[in-house]
Amino acid sequence: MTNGQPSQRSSIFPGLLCILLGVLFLLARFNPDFRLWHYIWRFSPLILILWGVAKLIDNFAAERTGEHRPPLLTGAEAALLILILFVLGGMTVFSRFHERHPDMTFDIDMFNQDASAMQEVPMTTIPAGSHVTIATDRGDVNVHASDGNDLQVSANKSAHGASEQAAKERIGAVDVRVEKTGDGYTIHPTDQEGPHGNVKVDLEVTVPKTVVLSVNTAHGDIKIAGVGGAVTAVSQQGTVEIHDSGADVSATISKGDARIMNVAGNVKLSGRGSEVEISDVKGDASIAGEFYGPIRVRNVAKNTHYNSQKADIQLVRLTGLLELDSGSVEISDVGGAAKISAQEKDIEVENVAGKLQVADKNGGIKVGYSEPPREEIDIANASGSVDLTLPSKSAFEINAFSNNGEVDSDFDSPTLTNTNENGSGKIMGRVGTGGPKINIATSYGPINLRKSS
Amino acid sequence: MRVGPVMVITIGVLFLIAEYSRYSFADLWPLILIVLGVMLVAQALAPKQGHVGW
Repeated sequence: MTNGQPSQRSSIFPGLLCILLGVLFLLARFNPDFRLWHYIWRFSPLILILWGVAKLIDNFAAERTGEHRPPLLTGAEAALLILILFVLGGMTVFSRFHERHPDMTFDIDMFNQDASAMQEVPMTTIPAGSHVTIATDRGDVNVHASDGNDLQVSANKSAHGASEQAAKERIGAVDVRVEKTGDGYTIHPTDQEGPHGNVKVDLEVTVPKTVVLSVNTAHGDIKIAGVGGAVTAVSQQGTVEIHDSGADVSATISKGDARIMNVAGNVKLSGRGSEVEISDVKGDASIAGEFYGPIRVRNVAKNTHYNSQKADIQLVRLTGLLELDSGSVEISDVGGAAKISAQEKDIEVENVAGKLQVADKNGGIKVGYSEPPREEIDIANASGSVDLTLPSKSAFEINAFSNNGEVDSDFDSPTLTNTNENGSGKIMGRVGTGGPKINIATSYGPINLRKSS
Repeated sequence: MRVGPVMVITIGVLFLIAEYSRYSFADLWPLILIVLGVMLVAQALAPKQGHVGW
């Protein structure tokens, strides 16, 4: 020590934090799909680890040189951390808001200039039943169908640039083309990529009613109305809306909502996202993937199949509504059989005309009928209550057992026994003549058999 | 090795790059954070003895 007094070292933690944030911001800047806030939140515990490691290195360095080691958290570091938390919090709120209202544009980027321009592609006449493919890396796609055989495309291009001139140059380099391919026509913009994110190309397309259509966008919304042939839509980030389709519809989304209405064929939705709405389907409807919800399915003429990590639901002829949320499943009015298995969800089922099978875990089950049931009812719950409500004139044969819970029955009959012993309860026997079998079992929770007037 | 002057130099260089390349300052500003971080780490790790007038 030069002056006999061991000096205090400064810590490497603030420096490491600065480097880390700098690298993250750079990544986010050059890759528009990199969801910075998402990653920062998800990996925020890493900051703690980084802190600990940095402090360890500080200690070793201090021991080696005989200096005082730096304190665990200096005032300046605390201030830096609080500042970072504030910035992150603010930006998270901003990006959440932005995701919910993607149409609103905030220009917080004072160093960038915007420019936009329209392009009309000369009209093409195509044979009936052609396959039309539309692909854009960034931008919304809006497809209408019309009578006749004309393919009409108009594009709205917009871009950022360091100056207005630069933005205009970027737009000038992008050309929207209609090309004849093997079995059909492809509509796509050229040279969309660039250092300031891709040039956004919104496409407004009118196709003949008879086409088979595929639409693909990496970042944008898709709207398709009135197409008679099969429709395939893929959006990696954005909302997909398909109306009045004459054949099968298949949609894949990775983020965003899906609304599919009035389809003459089958509907197939897969991927992940938030809200889902499917209604008036003449064929089957299948939903596979993780959607936050709410998910609403209405009026499906054939089979409805929903499959996610937490639930599997199969319904035959859904004339009412299937609604799923993070914690609940509600089903009403099914013309055929229904099979529902779920975990951690409260399940409510009303009026299933066919055989009903319900299995749940850690959630309550409520089943109700407005007409006496005619088909078998099978309810199995693990850690949850079961409520079954039947019209008073119902006839059935019941076998209900709760391993750890009370049973209670509104129905009374000389051939029905209702016992509660040593913590477990049992309802056994029959009410009326004929009627279906009802099996109810739960490992933990009460069973209530209710009579509706 | 003082942090202040180095930061001023860095910012100046970034503005120059922004002027003469296709990258704008909006793209480049995180480099300021990175340079600052490297400076802070270097400062914390460097031995303090034997140096005069940092």
